[in-house]
Amino acid sequence: MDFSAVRSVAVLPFHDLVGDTRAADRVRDTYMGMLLATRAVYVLPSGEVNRGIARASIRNPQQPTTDEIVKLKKELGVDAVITGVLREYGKVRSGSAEANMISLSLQMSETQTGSTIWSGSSTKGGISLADRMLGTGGRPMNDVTVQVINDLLDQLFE
Amino acid sequence: MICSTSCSNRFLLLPLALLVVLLLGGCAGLEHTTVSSSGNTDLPARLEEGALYALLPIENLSASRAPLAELDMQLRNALKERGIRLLEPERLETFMREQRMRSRGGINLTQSRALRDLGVAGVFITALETWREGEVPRVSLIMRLVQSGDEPEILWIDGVGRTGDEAPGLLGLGLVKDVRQLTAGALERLLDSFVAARSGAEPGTAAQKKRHQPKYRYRAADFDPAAEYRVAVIPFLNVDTREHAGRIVGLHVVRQLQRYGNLKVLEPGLVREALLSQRMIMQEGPSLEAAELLAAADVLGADLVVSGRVFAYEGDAGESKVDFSLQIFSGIEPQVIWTSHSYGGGDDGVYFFDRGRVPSAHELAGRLAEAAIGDFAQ
Repeated sequence: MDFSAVRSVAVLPFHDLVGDTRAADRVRDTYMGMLLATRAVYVLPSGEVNRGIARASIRNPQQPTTDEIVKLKKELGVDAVITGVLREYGKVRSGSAEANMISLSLQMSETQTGSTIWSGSSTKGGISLADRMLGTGGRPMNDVTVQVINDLLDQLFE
Repeated sequence: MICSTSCSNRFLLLPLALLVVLLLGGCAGLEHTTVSSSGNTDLPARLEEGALYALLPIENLSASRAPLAELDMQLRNALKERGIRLLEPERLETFMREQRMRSRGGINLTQSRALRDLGVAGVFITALETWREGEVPRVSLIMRLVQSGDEPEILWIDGVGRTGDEAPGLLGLGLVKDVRQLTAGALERLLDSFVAARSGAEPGTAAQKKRHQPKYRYRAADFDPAAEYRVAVIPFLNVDTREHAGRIVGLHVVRQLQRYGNLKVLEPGLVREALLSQRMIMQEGPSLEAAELLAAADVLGADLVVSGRVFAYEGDAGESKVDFSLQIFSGIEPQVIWTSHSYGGGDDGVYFFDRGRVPSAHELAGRLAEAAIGDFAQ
């Protein structure tokens, strides 16, 4: 898809399915920073997004309706919004081996009509053969987060 | 004959090699004991000989109980030993009561003017970052000198972080188990750094390692790092980490920004006053509107607003771990001009006898902040 018309985006708070509300904050912060670092689009700061959410009176910013997405365009002036679902975030165990794992899915919706224009998902981390053999404990959570986001950015721009 | 000589050499070499290995292992932590000074290089010209200074009571950001009165006394004595004239504690107490000073973490404009009227040239503001007693004691402090007058200005800022096991030495003989001994050493280093800055010494820098560089970064293409800016650092958001971590990382960032002559870092007490007077509550960090407001000439007149989030700040026990993101907004043309994420552990990249270990969270946060701000400002 041609994203050249999308110049600015707002990343809404991610929907957290892992029961750790801060995990979604962490992943969202990293995603926003890395997306901005690509220089492909301008990413609104989270304080600004929060202000827009409050002004548009969006009750559930993790899962906005089409109308609410259109409202955000008026408040924030962005071309698209990104919503996400954090499905896994934490350690997985198998026998004596353990490693960090993250699973994240994202959706991009354009703010003119509120329709979804892209979606992608990625899962990284988990127990590798080396973790089983050497008991290394896997990669640090931050590194796995970066891997997942890199994968999602590749999917977005490919 | 030849054989016997070489054999005896081998016997000599073995214990020598063992000794070298032991010494390397024991001294592994030594490289971290230096104070990384940062401060205004024109400090000597701005400090009057024999001027009177005030020493605010230490602010406890350590999230644990600490003997603050004892530390205050130690600090006061150490400053006096270095020939610094201090306002008497009774007069300071009266001043604080009159000014209704509830925060020990900074001074606002009214207090700065009142201090000048009292004949005080500047005020020392100290934050106790870490305090831990026990088998492996830990102490870290960040201290700054703020000039009194119509605009309180940071003249010097520095910090020190020490742990009892930073330089265990041969057979653990270098371990420090008494927190008071550790504190005395820490204060000595901190104030020696002030004395060095007062005599015009250039601020030192820690050796930069790739692992301390931000993991990703963005800088707006139209940002000119060489231009002059007024910078306001607002407290970082604390995401799931220990109490006061946001304030601490904010102070580390102030300390690193202060190194650059073209950046005028606003006294955190002034920023706090502005946030309170404007009733700015930023649960998700500053919005562009907030940055614009702080940039207003009648509020702070800040060209840049620095903020961020702290995800981990662990260093009270065990290995240190620090994780934070940094965001810088332009107040002139509201937009994000810098974003980065830095994280690391004290034992990252350590494979041989603790060589390269960063034992304190203070030191680690300092290195991460130094690398991030260095990238931004250069």
